[in-house]
Amino acid sequence: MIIVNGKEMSWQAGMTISDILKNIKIIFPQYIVSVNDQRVPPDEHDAYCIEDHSKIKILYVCHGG
Amino acid sequence: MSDKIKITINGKEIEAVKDSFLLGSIQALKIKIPTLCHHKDLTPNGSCRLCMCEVEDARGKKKMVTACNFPIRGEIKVSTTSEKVVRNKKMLAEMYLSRWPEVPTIKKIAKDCGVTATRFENEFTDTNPKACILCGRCTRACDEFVLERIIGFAGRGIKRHVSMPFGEVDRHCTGCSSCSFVCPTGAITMMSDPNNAVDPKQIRDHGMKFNGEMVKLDDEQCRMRQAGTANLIEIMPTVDLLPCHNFQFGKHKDAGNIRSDVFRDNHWKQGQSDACWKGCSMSCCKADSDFIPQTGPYKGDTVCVEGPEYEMGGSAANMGCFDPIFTLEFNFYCDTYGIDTLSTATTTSFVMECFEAGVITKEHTGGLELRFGASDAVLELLHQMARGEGFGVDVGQGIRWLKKKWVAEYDADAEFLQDIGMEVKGLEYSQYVPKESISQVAGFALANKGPQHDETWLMFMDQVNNEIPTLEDKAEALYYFPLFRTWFGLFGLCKLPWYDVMPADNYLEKEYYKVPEHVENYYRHVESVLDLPKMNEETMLEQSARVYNLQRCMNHLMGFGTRKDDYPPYRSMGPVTAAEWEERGDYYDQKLKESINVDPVGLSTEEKIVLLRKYREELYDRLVDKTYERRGWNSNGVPTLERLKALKIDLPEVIDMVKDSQGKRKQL
Repeated sequence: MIIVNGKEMSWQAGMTISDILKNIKIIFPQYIVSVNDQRVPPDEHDAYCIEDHSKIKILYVCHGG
Repeated sequence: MSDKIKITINGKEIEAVKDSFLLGSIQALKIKIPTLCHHKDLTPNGSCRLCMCEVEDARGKKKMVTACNFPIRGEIKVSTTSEKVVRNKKMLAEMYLSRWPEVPTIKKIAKDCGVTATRFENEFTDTNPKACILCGRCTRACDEFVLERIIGFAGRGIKRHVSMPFGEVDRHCTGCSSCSFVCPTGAITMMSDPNNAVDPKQIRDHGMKFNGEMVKLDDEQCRMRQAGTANLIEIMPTVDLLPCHNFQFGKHKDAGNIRSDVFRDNHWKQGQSDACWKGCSMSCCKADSDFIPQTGPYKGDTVCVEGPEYEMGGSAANMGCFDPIFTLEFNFYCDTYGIDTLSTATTTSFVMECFEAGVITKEHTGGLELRFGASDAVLELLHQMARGEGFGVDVGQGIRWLKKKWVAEYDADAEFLQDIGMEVKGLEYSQYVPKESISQVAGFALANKGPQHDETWLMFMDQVNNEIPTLEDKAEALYYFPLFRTWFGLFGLCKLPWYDVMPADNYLEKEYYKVPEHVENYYRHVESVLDLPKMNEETMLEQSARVYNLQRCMNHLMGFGTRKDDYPPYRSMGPVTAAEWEERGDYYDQKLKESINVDPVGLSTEEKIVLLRKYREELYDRLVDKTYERRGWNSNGVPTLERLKALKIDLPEVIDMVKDSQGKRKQL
């Protein structure tokens, strides 16, 4: 089990950040991803394998108006 | 699951992202390779041929490719040093050298290719060291950075040259300098700078990096070039922030009718130029230049209408008019009449809720059936406002005036009108639902000019990201953002290049939510234009604080600058009516449990509203205390003498403005 933005999500061996991003609803297209409080470069999202029990945050960068 | 491909370059293995261009992988391995037409921020076109490599695919088939625009789609072996590659490069270098023998860039490339002299004679040899070498960077920069095509190639063969249309100066050229910035030879240079900036190079260095971000990142990020701020119309309802029916709800089943792509597909004809500054690489402004109004003095004429921006979509939603034609027509007439679109929409939304609640009737509105969604009645009301006729005269006075009149003359419920009348300091709210972000509640209500979002916009930081959980965090945000936003507003700079595209490496920033690189762009720009000492974030905030506190003193003088003037209508803080609560019943029940540990089971909706309201109003008061303290104001919201002294604005006239810190209105 992993936690994505405070919500539980089932974990699968080999799953990457990109796999998670495909499975959740991305609210806003400007975002930063952190895994266990470590920021992950966007070009590593495809290859970055998530370990079980990880905490993933998708931080939206939005100051509308 | 990965989109990476292993490739070999000169015997070295590297992982490349599928569909990335080969040149990037070659440069990542620090292998030297000549380029001429390539620029990191422009679309590669392979025209100079200097980055030729030999590529062998998995079947052993070899071919020559230009690395800059060759996409990696399978396992390949690459050579940048094979005999064929070296021979080709030398040949090209000699040809370039024969045509432009004195251009330093060409001479360096020739030297790097091992060529010191050319075997070719060329009757078109140009010995100008700043000759145009036809690399095409300038034409692509004009097209891609600023979405213009003012310069392009003209002529054929040996007569090929860069030109404006028909060889004449095109008045559309703003002198943005993008073409000269990317020119590798100096063939295009800025002859004069009419603005007399003290450091034009610094401006261009920061500006061109920004242009590169727009070209490379905008399509994946905010789509400002495609949709402008209207991209938010479809995003805000997903997080309950699109104001619907006078801020009662944050979403609506019909909101999809006014999505940005509806306007893109059916209305926007002007996809490139920008109304505020031609040459802006963000180019957010959209317009329908063939719009035919259905009402009013321009009925049946073809007119040009700007937008909608996000706020116009929010305005339509607030009035329940989810109709793209109405959205454009309402905006056209507000602009044409010189009436503020947002204040008009928010006031009309208030009128509609009062009409539906029975506070006013058709008797008061002169027969207008002003229910939510009544777009024809809204447009008639707008025309009345402009003509100075009928009910429009009253509505044009704004919410604060209407509340007073209806309480005094119609015996309306003053508390209900105060709760749902979305104004502070006499100004109507702009189009975001702040009620689930206490920081934004304060951001709106504490704004010096009234509840306009250009001082503070914290909904995502606060309610979506939960990035500022404590009152101290929120107060710090309510200190920093109003000062930064006020500062660039004072210099007449647009907000959008700060936040509506994000640098690719912003993820490395601790305070990513400030987009620090773009904050720096702003003060570097100002110090480059004016002859100012080197600036940093601190000096910028101090400059702003002097003006911001002076504004607050002026507010105080005018009778709008104390704590009572910073108190918002409860609608901005939480649900006023049972319908509002019940629309998000589970969410609010959960809030009761989380916030005040109350089990909602068995409580009526009205009882739950009272409990949540008590909690949120107390929380707001505590946040205001913290924010005043952080800003150096007393508990009544007045700048202290110490703060004025620290900011060096303790002039006798200023001190006199705030002498009575209890906020009694002074005579001017």
